[in-house]
Amino acid sequence: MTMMFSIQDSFKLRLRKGSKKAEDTIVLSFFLLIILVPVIYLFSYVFFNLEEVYQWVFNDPISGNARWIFMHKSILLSFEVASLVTIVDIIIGLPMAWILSRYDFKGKKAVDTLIDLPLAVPTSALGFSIFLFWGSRSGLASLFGIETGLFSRGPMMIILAHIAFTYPYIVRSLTAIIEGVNIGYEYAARTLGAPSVTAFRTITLPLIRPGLITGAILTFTRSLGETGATLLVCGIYETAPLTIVAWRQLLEIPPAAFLGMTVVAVAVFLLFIANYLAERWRFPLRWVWPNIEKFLGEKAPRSLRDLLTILIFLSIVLIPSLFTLVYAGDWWSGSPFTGAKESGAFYQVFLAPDRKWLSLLMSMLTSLEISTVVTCLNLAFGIPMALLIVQNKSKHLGEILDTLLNIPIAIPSAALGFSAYLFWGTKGLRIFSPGFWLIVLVHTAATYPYMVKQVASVLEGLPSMYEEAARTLGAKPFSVFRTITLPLSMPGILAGTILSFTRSLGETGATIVVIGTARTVPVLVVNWVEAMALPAAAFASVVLIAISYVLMLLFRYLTEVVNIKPKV
Amino acid sequence: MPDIRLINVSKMFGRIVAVDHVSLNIHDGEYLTLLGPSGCGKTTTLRIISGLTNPDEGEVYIGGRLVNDVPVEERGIGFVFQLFAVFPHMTVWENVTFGPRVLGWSMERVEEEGLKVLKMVRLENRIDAYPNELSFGELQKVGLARAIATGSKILLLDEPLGALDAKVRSELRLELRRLVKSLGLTSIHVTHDQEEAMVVSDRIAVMRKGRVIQVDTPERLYDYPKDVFLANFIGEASFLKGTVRNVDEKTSVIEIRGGATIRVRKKLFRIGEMVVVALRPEYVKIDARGNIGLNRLHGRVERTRFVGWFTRVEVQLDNGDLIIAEEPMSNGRDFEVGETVTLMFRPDDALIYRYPEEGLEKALSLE
Repeated sequence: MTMMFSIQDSFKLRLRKGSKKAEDTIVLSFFLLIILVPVIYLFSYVFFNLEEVYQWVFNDPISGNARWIFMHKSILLSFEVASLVTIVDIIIGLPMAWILSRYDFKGKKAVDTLIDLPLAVPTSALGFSIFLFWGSRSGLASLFGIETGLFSRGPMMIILAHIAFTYPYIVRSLTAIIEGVNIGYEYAARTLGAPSVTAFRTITLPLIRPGLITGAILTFTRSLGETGATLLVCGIYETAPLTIVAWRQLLEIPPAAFLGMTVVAVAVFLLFIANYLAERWRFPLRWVWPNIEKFLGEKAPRSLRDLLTILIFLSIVLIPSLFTLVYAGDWWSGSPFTGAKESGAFYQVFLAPDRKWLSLLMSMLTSLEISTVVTCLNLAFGIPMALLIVQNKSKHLGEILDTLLNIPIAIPSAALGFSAYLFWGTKGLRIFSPGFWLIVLVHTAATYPYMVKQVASVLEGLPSMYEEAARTLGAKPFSVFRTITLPLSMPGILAGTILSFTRSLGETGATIVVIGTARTVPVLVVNWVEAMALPAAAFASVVLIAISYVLMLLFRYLTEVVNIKPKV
Repeated sequence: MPDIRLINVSKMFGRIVAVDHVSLNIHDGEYLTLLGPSGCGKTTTLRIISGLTNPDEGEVYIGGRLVNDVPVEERGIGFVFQLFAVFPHMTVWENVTFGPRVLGWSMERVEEEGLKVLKMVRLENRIDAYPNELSFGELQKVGLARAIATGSKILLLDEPLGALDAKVRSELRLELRRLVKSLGLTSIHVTHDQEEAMVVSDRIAVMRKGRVIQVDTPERLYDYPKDVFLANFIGEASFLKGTVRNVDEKTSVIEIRGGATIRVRKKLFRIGEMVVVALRPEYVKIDARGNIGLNRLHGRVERTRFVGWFTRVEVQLDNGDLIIAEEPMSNGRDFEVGETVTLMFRPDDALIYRYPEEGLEKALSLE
């Protein structure tokens, strides 16, 4: 009996194909509009206002080409800092990554969680903490009895802040990369007589070379783009992102745009260099130093090395990052030096006539509001985007989208904020002026890639057979998504939600550029530090750190513990 | 009841031709197995029939209807996966009734059908269990019950017993055939296990390198394999390379390496052609009481292996070729390594093929 493939069926088919296309278009448009277009607009703004920009930067009637020189210097400073930070990060981070991936010991889970701690600290709070630790008399200096702090604000402190802030990233990515190398290769090398250090250098290191280089470049770009923490520790020096912030605040738009465009171009350029270099860089393999390396691998030097690694982590990364907590405790009820109650955090926040507690509360509400809206947007548009990428992995579209997603992560937050400011504001579409909604847009642009990448990686890990089984049982694609894909990828989606929320909560650099009269907590911290109300700022930081840390723990729990793995 | 037809179906993955112009007719109610070594295209073919993969060329008809543009969920097929694909976040009951619920059946009907299929696979007392509490065999039964719960008349199985251990496998395959036959389903079963194919199928389609080489009942496939590959892949065979020396009305005389000649009851090839003679072990007798007309070959025993109701005897001929013979236990004889023996087989029992262009080794290989 032959059944005619009815016209109705064919229409339904085309409708479904059509609605999928419409869906995809909406999702892609969101991505382009929120993230890429403003950045492109930045470039076009400069090119369309070339004369004006030229004048401001190179030929200002009053300052001549002072801005160009300043730009130069700030970019140079950014580069120097970033280079140093990257090198130091790899030197101190590689041994830590080694410990985490190859050793098994009692407190390992604890150390693991601790490494993530700096990530939970919003950048401005981090910078503030670093300043307190290294640069105030309540910090490390108090152990030595130095009045003014070990370092003053400036390049050194910027470097220390950047190291603390990038350390978790480099350790995490190196750990993942090392774990990806089959340990069997090292065993094989050792059965052939190579001491473990030699095995590591000649076998593992070359195998992780691409990942190492990518990790290094990402660290470099992150340092290059760091704004929030740098603001608090820079003193009179300015890195490129800070200059953008400064000029924006002075409403010197054209030079800010020019600088923004430059840093973005550099960051994107570096991003593509990463892939190129990853293939070609070679490590010295031929040199064999059997005696030295054998010595390094033996028990005593190894333990020393491990101890040193952990000590460095604690003293340069962990404790400085969290020092605000100590400071807030010390200065809670009054100055530990003079006993004056007015200098205490409690007084400053709750009792002082300017009612800081109210500002804190309002900022907290604003921050939470913004982060909630941002996270909702990310969920609504990010999940379909992740689906789109995963479904098109084999075709070019998936790859292209994945690469484009790296751009907001790589470019400095100040530049991201600035391009949004230009595009949506008075120099562009004129829809949004600095304030709540512009902040939402900027935060979305900054956090959207994290959501998409997180969800995409979970979806990719999901065996396709479950969705296929559901389809063979008659479930339409949306049903499959709702009853199978979504529940099974829920832990990953929740993790992405938390990531997005936390990042938005701590976002400082871009927020400052687009902030109007509203205040988020990180910006409040910056304000209070500038007003020298340090204990109050410390208190605000503590509140923010506490919330972020709890969220961070939840994130780890969801990604590692809750795993719906099939029995097979 | 539907039948399934594939006409000139092809599929490529990059530059690899997975399915190469495959045409197949599967009769209504038939249990057909797609059999072949890994990479031969059998799973891809199955997936094309199901709609999970789209062919680059060719047409697929289910029940007379062209289904190339029909999505999976509308083809009305049941699919059983090698790794079960039992939804980890649902109980056995929820898994099995997933199809009916998706189709919007009434609660009563859902319950009725669900219990019915669970009884068929004897899992009715595990309905509240989660997949991580079940054994692999039970998981596959859930997969099976789930696939038939919607009443699909077509059942596609992708190496359904592949992840199970030997004992479970041999029990389940019998249950499988029984179930399919009692429900009158049209079944297509993919496997690389030749024994499994022989046990469950009405017909077997053997595939290699993307093509179907022979479609036949298990018996005919065993007795009349079309080429050397099949002679080796189905059952077992020893191979002798030779040249045709003489041909008369009913027989041919073939000279093998070393000069010995054998007579076979076929006249397929001309004098001087190179051929391959394939001998199944059960047709090769050792030192049998002389019958006229039997072929005789001399050699020494290389190795013997006790299998159960027969002993497998490997004999190296004078010319160096190796022949495997089966010695039934009932004969009560024992052979020692190094013993000289005479192998005998009837001219009727030899299979002959033209010597393959690519050489014998390549022709037999599983790649």
